[in-house]
Amino acid sequence: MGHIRGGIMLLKRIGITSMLILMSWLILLCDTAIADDGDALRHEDPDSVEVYYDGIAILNYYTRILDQVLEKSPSEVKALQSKRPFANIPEGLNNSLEDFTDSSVIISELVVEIDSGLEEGSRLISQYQFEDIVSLQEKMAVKIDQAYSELWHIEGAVESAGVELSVPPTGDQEPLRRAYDEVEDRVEQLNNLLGFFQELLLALSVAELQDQLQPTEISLIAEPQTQFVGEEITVKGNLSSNGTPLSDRQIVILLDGIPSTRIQAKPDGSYAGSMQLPYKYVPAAELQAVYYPREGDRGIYQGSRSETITIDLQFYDCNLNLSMDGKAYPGMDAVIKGQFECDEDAPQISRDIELYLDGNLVRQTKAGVTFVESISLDPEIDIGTHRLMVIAPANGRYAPALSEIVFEVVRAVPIIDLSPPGLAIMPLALKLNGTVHTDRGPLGNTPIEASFGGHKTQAVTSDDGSFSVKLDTGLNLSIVGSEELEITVYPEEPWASSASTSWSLIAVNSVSVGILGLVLIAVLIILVKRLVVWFVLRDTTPATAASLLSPMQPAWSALRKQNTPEKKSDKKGLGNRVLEIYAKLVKRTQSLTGIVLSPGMTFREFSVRCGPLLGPGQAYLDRFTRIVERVLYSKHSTSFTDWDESQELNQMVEKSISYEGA
Amino acid sequence: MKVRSIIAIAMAVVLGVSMLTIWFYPSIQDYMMANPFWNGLRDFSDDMDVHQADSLTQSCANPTDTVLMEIPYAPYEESALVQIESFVKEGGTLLLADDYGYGNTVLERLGLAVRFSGQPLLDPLLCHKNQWLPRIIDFSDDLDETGIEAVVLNHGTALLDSDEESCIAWSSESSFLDLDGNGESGSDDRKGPLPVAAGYSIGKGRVLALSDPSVLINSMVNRDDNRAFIDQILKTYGEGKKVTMDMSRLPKAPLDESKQAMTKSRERISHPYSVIAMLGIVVFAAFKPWKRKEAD
Repeated sequence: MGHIRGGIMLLKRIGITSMLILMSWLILLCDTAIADDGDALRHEDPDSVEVYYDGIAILNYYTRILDQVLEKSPSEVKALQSKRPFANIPEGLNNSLEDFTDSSVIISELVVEIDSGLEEGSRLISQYQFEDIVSLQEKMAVKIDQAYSELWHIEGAVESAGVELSVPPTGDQEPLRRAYDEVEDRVEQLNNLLGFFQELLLALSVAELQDQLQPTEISLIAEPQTQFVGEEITVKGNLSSNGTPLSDRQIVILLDGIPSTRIQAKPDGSYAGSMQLPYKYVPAAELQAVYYPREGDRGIYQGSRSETITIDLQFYDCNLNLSMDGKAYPGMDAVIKGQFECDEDAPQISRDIELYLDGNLVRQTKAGVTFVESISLDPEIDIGTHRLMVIAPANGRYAPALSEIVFEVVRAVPIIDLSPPGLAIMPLALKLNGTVHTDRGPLGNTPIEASFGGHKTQAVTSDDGSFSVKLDTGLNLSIVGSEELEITVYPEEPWASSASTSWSLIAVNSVSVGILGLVLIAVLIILVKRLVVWFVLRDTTPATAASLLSPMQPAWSALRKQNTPEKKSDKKGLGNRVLEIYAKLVKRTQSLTGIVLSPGMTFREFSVRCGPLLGPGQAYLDRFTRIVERVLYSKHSTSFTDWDESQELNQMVEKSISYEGA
Repeated sequence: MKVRSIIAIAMAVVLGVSMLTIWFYPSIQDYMMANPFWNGLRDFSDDMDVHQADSLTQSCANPTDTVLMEIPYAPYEESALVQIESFVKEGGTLLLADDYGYGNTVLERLGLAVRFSGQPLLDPLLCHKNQWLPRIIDFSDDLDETGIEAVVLNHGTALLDSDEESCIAWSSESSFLDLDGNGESGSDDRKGPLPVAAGYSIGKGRVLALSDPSVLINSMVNRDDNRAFIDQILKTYGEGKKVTMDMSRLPKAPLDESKQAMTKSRERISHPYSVIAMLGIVVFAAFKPWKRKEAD
């Protein structure tokens, strides 16, 4: 019980002491770490960071959008609208802001349309195109109404923002109030702009003027109504007012709304002429004849427009197909194949083509229906995707053709063919034979580097890409393990990249293995011997001379039975024979000197005590005793020399005893 | 048992527990690849298979195959600058992510005019939660085409003196550099848009300057399009290259130093010299008792 209690007490003491030291250490460790983390300048935890909305920034966003509306720039308004999802705004303002931006986009487009519509109205008035003016007025009135509707949404959204952001009702010095006032100012300006548009629209009213002027009518006939681009067509018609032909008036022929030809009316009010169809490669074009009063006709006649006639335009539309053979490499030619696929009835002609690499013109040349062009790529060209565009400009009846091909510029990756041995025996050199090639063929005259276990060697491939390398493996302290054999290729050509391939070899260090084997064998032998000695002598230790020599002592007989610890190198049981003669000598000495080898006495003590009585034999007995001790207690192997010496010493002691006895 | 023995055993227990604690207790230090918390780089490093290097020599070994990441919170010695310059000119890709550190020393050494401002970039409108976490939504055409819409910075800065062609990302018009440090946009502050990322070619290599390393930390890398942004710039500037992070420029807590020391110790123990030494100890232990008895 006392032992158990003592053990528990001891464990407690160790535990408490350990805990105290450990706590101090951990506190020191953590405290320092946390202190170092205290620099909040680098970043904050975004999950626990304080949410803060900047009302002024939000209101400035409103202002900027309205500024762009007033600038009549719908694209900028859309760009600002696209940023809204990324804005940091209160949850309650989300819908309101979305309404605001949506309405702003719509109103910005309406403002532009109304503005251009009013300009068109002014132009039409100058031409007395009263019917068009009336139609335009109606459209513009609808658009202005729409704009007012959007403005109403905007005003509501601005008001919501004021409430959500807690804008103070008054106070010019308050930055938030000032920002809100800015928004309201822009809303007011927008309101004023729409009012101005409305006034302008009213000013376009031409009803009174229209009643005072004579109406006119104009007709248009075009032949043929299907024609190739660049060819001529005939246009003709009549101009009259209330059935009376109007002579010598200028008729304007509009092609897709743009004045194209002017024809003078004949005395009978008819007009006729020809016009060349433009090289415009679209399916159709619209023709319209227009009369508007000039000089003396002003204040007398109204303007008029004929019905629109559609002319089907014909042209040869060719598809240009491009393809590229293989891959493209820096410093090499990229081969482009092209083919024009045209309508069946299109005559085959040679076309001018322009080649653009990444937007830069690299070549102008002529090409047939099919063509092959080689483009030299810059050795320093970026690796990756590039675009090659081929343009065939319009040529008469041939519409322009354009095609683009996206291709990858790559560097060829060298492939190293090598079958290394699975086992590398160090320090013997590794002989490696292999080849290096790419998908373009063998990679000749290319530097390579082979490395294994920190040893490197360089070589250059021959023309056929083959190489032969003798790689020293050297010596180190490793024994057996896996080592990487790495072959790296460094092509000098810009079209090939460097590459590295590695193999895992089992490396056996023959020297280390040999040394280790010897050491292990030695350790094993020593351990076995120690174990044998320990087992044999554990019952005789501490060995005393009495236990060995007294016939009544079982140790001595046991020793004899077991033949003492025999060593392999002992020749014919020499150790036992030494002990036998020593035992006999001790008995003789006991009988002569009367000194008994008592229990607990060692041979050496016995020798010391008997020595003075033996005369010169003392030295021999002492020496003999040491040999016996060595035989009994050490790993020393008893040699013939020991045996001979033992016999000699025994005889010398015997002689001394005989002499002393005599 | 004597007091001396108790203290010796206790110290041995403490040593063992401390080693286990250091080994298994996660790092909490900024930008540590072993740190799984909000300010660490474990997510990024795991996903991108980032290799950790404890020295520049180790980092710069294979320029053509390496994207070297530098978060320069420690000053550079002349030898380190020479190594970086050589690394870039020989074909390496350098990702220099800095806000308030020593990145300008590197840029100056590389002969680039661009500089990290070192002042906070704030955006009170386009931001995540508050103006210190500005959102970047203007990118170069190449990045726009990849569908990246927004990147969130975290207490970042901006680039100054960067030419337009080299820039790949800009802050918004509502952003500003808080030069006077009052957290509000004033007349003395530099107004946006301001570049936050730019790429350059030097020699055979490329340099990418990013004005906030915090986009890489665990709590930021998955926010908005930060991951796609990093993926894309690494693809553009160092496709197929191994990303290696130089840990020697990062502030380390004692825990991290200890972890590093333990890792090194483990490597040393597994070295052949150590194996031989241990073998020697075994041999010595085997021989010693025999010699002592023989001496007796």
